[in-house]
Amino acid sequence: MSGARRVATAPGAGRRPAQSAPEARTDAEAGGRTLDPARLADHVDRLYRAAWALSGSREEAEDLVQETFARVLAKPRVVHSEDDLGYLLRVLRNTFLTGRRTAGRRPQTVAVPAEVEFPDRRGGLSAEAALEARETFAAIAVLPRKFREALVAVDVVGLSYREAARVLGTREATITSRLFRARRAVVRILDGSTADGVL
Amino acid sequence: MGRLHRDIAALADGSYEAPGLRERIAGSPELTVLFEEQRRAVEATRAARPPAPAALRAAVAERAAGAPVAGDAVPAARRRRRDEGRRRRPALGLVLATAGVLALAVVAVLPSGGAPTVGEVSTLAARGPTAGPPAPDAAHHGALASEIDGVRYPDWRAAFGWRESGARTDRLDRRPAMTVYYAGPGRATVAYSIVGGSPLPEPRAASTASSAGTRYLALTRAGRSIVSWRRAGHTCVISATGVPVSTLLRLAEWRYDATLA
Repeated sequence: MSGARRVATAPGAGRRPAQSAPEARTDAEAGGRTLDPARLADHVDRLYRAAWALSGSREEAEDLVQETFARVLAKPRVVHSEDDLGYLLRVLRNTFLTGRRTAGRRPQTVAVPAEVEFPDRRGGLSAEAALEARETFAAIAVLPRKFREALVAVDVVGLSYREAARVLGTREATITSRLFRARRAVVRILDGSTADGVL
Repeated sequence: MGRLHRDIAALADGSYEAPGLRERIAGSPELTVLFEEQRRAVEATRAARPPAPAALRAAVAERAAGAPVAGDAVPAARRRRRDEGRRRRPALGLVLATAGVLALAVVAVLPSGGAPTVGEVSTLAARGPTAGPPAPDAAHHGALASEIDGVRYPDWRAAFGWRESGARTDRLDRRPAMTVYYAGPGRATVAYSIVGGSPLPEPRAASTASSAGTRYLALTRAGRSIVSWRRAGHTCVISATGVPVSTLLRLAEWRYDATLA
């Protein structure tokens, strides 16, 4: 991921080697900011929604978020010019892409059938809202990757165009163009049509 | 059109309002359609706000609480063990020197190097059923008529649609270890093992999740997803290939009787 150049550590970035702790301290001395593990847990909900929209699977989203935090919290992390949420989304995306690349070598997962509904133990989501969320995330998940990532970063996670551009390693104008087309496609899919001619 | 489309997208989510854009949209049916599409998509996405499951939140919070602190290259738990080791070093050396012969003798008589592990339970479960499944327990709705030291196996048919499909019985270091197999959607199979006797040692390097006072440990061994926890002082292990850990956690959390552990 080209945008990883500005961040000291981005676990899960494929072939990019993880930085050692002494290097991280050097970054901190050079003006880097250390991630506070206690604050990272505040972003679980947004990360979960991002993972669901990226993968299209609630079960895969849970595993993805678990893996993301396991990587981030394995050792102290130092970041530059990026907020915690943007950093977490970057790691989540790397983890997701790495998992997809190696999916062919893993056993295929079997999702619990849609008719088996588990109650929301927090009681904060009605059945109707849950259904709408599932349909929306399903529509996002079928978009081509670059369009999906732009929409997830901005509309699902709530990053600014600038933050999204940094996380995805591209220009702001590119993010906005992809966003425009991704939204058109999502609306058409939700209306029961196809995204042909939009993307 | 590229710049105009970007401006419409930014207007729809409130990021930026280009001068005169609203008037231009109002005067153009085509731009109005484009703007409405953008606005609808933004609303739909922002309305989709399912919270993370409680088990996931608990697992992340627990992991964050035990994470190494900033500027410290040694995780807190490892640092504590290291410091304790340094304080005890003289006494430990003396003990090791005097107990060396005894330790060799103990290793020589242990049949398998110590207590069985959760991984070994999963390995046995992977061998598959050797007997038919137990029947539902008429006296305990939601349970099967099979148990280890009073700890019953669940009947998941009504709650999840998983149907018991077989069973096997093994012995692990003189402990009974019984596994009931459940068939789920597609060709998914889950093995539910209960080990008799005292609980097994907790596996290392496992992810943890806490729910309703129970601590669940999740790990992967030889391609099998494994969730382990304790019920009434007994180690229970659910394992499967090709079934997400999150699904195993949901199955493990379910209780046919809320008053039971």
